[in-house]
Amino acid sequence: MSANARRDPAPAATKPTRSDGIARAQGAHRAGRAVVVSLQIGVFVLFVGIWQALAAAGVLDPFFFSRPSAIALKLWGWMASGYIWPHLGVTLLEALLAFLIGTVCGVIAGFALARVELLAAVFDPYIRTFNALPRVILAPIFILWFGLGIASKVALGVTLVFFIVFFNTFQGIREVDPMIRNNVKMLQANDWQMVRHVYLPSAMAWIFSSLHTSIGFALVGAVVGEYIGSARGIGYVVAEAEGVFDTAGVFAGLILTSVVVLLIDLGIDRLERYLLRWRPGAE
Amino acid sequence: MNGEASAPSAVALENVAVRFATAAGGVHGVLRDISLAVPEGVFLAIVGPSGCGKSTFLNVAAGLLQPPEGSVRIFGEPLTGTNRYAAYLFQQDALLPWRTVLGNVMLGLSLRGIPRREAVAEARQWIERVGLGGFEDRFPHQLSGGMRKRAAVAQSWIVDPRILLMDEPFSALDVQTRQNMENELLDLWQGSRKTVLFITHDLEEAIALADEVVVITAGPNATVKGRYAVGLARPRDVAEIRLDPEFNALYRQIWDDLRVEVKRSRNDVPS
Repeated sequence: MSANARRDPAPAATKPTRSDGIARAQGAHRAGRAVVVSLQIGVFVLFVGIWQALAAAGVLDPFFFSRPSAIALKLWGWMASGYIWPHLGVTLLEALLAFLIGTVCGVIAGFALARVELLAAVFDPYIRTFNALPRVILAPIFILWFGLGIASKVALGVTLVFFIVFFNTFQGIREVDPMIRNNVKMLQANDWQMVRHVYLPSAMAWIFSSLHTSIGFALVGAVVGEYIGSARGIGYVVAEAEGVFDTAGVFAGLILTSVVVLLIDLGIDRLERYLLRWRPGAE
Repeated sequence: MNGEASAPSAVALENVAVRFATAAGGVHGVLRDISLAVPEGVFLAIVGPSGCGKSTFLNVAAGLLQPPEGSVRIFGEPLTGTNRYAAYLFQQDALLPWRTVLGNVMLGLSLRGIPRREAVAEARQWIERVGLGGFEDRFPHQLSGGMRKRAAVAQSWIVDPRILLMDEPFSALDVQTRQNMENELLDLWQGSRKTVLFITHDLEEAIALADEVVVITAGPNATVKGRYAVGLARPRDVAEIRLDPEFNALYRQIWDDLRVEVKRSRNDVPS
């Protein structure tokens, strides 16, 4: 999942201008992509169609399973009336804060433990224990500590994001090529310059490959926290719908969350492709 | 600060020994009793069988490895930390893969706090000089092995080091590229007064390039076996000098020394 950041030891010589063969290969790849996308849409249409048909035929009880048309109407109603936007805004804000705080703490802790052998040895059992803990059961505690507002949701998200970023940073720093380390040391880099020019960029590849997971978890933390106790956010909307047996509302909330995660993921893909363009095979 | 009457050696090792603890709990001796003084401006080649600890030797001179025994002096001063007079050209790729050619070449200047504009201008000159003009914005993985080596040469020379440490820098290149690079290295070095420590396992390369050749014994506990002056005229062409009768005489003489060590390393070292 996150271990794909290792560099190829000796990438084959690349000619400065792209040869014909490669250009054709890419064209072929694109043609294949069109097929994949149409099949993906096909799967969606088939799934939704069967669901709708079974619900219409009475095989699936709409009370428990709702039906796609009702869910779509629900979503549309939320958006048209403007009801959903403040809730979505709150959830995104919580996720963003959890993501930022978790990432910064994870990077700092990863750095510290990777560079200081004693710290790593001392904290190793605690980190393992805490990471093994199902974080969701912390939600009630956080609500007691931080109240029903956004702070408790951010805290939950942070506990999820932190470990992903921490482990990836730790690994990234440990895997720095000793040749590169010695080279920059010989160019008379001081400790801070070593961090800035060697350790951080090297760990960056690992941190980035973990972003997809951690941004998803940041949102999970927010939504689960809201679901358990709050007055705003997508999780609250889902909990409310559940309370009045509004199955369409529950599904609409789930779908909205998935779509948001998907969009953020696409954005990260682009950012990653730009920032990690130095890696072999990145083009 | 140089109190000595005569100019101090650029690099002076005295009774240096290096040992590593082995996984089995024992001690593996890599180098022992190494004493070697290299006057400033000399191109010194160090030859020895593969795996004899030549790279360890260079790491000691670079200050990347503190020897548990013996002393290292650079221009008369005891060496502490990394050797700030020296640049190091590594055997494998040591370019920063996330920096472009330009970014890699100018790194040494940036680290010294030289303003970006100046550093870029200087780096462009060096990129031109090593024949990489037009490739400034490439990342290392987009270059061939020879081009990466050229970038590495520019990266280490741009800081104008007084000492150059080279660890089999051209061994991974094909013969043609290698001879070109060797000639270009000699052109760059000629008249620069820079001191060069050049590690190689190839005796021909050592004689073709160097003023002096030092033979190291087979490991473990490798030490200096002999030191030979190479009186061949400069400027040299590494491809043609191999036909020189004087070259051949020297080769035979040094090879007599080296052959025993190569044989020993073949018999002793299982790898």
